[in-house]
Amino acid sequence: MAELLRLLSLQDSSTRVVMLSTAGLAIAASMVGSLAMLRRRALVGDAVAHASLPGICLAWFVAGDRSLAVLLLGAFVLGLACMATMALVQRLTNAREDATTAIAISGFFGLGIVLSRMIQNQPGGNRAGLDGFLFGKAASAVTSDAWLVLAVAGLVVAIVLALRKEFGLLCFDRDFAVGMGRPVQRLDGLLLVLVALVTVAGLPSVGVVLVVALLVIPPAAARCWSASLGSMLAVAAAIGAVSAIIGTGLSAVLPPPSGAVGGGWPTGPMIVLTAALLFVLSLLVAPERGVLITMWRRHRRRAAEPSMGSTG
Amino acid sequence: MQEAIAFHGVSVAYRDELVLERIDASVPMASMCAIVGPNGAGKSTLIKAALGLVPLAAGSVTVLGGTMAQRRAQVGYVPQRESVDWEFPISVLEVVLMGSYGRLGLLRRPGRAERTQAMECLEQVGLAALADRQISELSGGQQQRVFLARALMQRAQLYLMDEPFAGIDAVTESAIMQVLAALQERGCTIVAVHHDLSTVRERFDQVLLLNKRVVAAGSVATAFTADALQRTYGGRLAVLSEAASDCGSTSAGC
Repeated sequence: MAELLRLLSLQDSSTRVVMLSTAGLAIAASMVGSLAMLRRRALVGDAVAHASLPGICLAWFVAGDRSLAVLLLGAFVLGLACMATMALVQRLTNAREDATTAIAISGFFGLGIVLSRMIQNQPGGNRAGLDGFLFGKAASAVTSDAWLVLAVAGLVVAIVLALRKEFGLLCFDRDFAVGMGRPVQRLDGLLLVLVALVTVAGLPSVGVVLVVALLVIPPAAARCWSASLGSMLAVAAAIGAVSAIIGTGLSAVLPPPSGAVGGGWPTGPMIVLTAALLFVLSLLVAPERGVLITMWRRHRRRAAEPSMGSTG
Repeated sequence: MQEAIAFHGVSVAYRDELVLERIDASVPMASMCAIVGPNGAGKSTLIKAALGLVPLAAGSVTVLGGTMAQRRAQVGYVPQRESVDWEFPISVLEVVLMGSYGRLGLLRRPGRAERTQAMECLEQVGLAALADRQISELSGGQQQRVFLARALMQRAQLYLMDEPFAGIDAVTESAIMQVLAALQERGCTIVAVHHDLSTVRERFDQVLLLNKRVVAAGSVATAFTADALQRTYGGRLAVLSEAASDCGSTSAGC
């Protein structure tokens, strides 16, 4: 408990930076995720995330330098390659978008698992820390890495805020945007690049398997509360940040599961569980569309019915 | 320059199938033109082709004496109501403000001047009271009027409209007609996809009868004949075409 207090009061400077960077990342992911969801591209992040595993492995093989920045660059490149592959397949064939996405996700991930086994069989491969990329390990992150993530998140947030009117138009009515001569294809491309950036930046803390949750859950929760794009972005960012702070904190202070070898609770699942909890809460208690208010209205209507029935 | 928009041998294909074949037609300035034809005739596609929303397989389009790329700022667009998600988190006023994005550039956001203009546009379509509503609360007719207000916000010379009268109530119908008449009075040209054959004569002065090719085009008086309608609809709409020709002889009957 004392440790939790120490953590939340941010007395430890390295924890402070790590938590700050995870929160910053969650804010960026929630905002980009909101746009992606409104553009009906929510699952693109999942494809990028799964394609990043082979990207990290290839970067490990190719570069002598195995710093986080280099590994994430590999992830980013393969993420873009995955999106390009999906776009190409859809243009050349009649394949459905969901099928293409599913094939890309599993195909690239399979490749990534094979490559990571090859790395682990190499001398020094065990120390590559590739497992950490699967489920995230923010609590133990290095300060310089945290700054890198924070910089990427800051850049993404700045771009979203600067172009939010154009992104809003693109998501709401793409044809109208084209008719007005907006650079729609470039904006669409930029949105995909932003999705790839936050996804890759989220790998160290949340991991390949769960990073898509940061793109999807806070926006879905925010959708319950907001009637405008601006408020949706703000609420999603707040939900993302709170989830990141609570999740990172819990994974740092909870005692490791009994018999655990090497490290305690992974950060990614903690953040995602917190976000999921906030989502369920939003579904239940949201003002206009919440489950509780809807049930209450239905109850009121039913209570009013007998009197109407008696007149008929 | 007499023509607001002219199609020169325009063909459009979806995959390998031609949906529009060598369209040659033009609409004179300051007129109101109905694009009429059966389902699948390519009416919406013709408008989308003019706007550059679908690629041309052949031919070209001249808009206000230039190319569409040069004249975009003078072209307003009312898409089909069903083309967007009306659950989108956005208010009525914000949708109308989108009409000003063309003159704002990428980074500038609409300010007080644009808000005032948007309110004026909403007033013209009779929706000023609903400016702050979320769009999901609107009826179909109100949605249609929001799209019209957004097009007014574009301050265009030429308006391309995809079924502005589809599925609307009587209030909306008269509101839209008033706005369109005012636009025409100012010298604007309106080209609208239209489904209701019985109202073509009273609302439009030009007509383009379309069924993948141009069947007839020109003033309503000369081109909108029972014979041309028969050829457009392939005899499938005998009753309707009779109704249309009745309209011509006894306009009071409609």
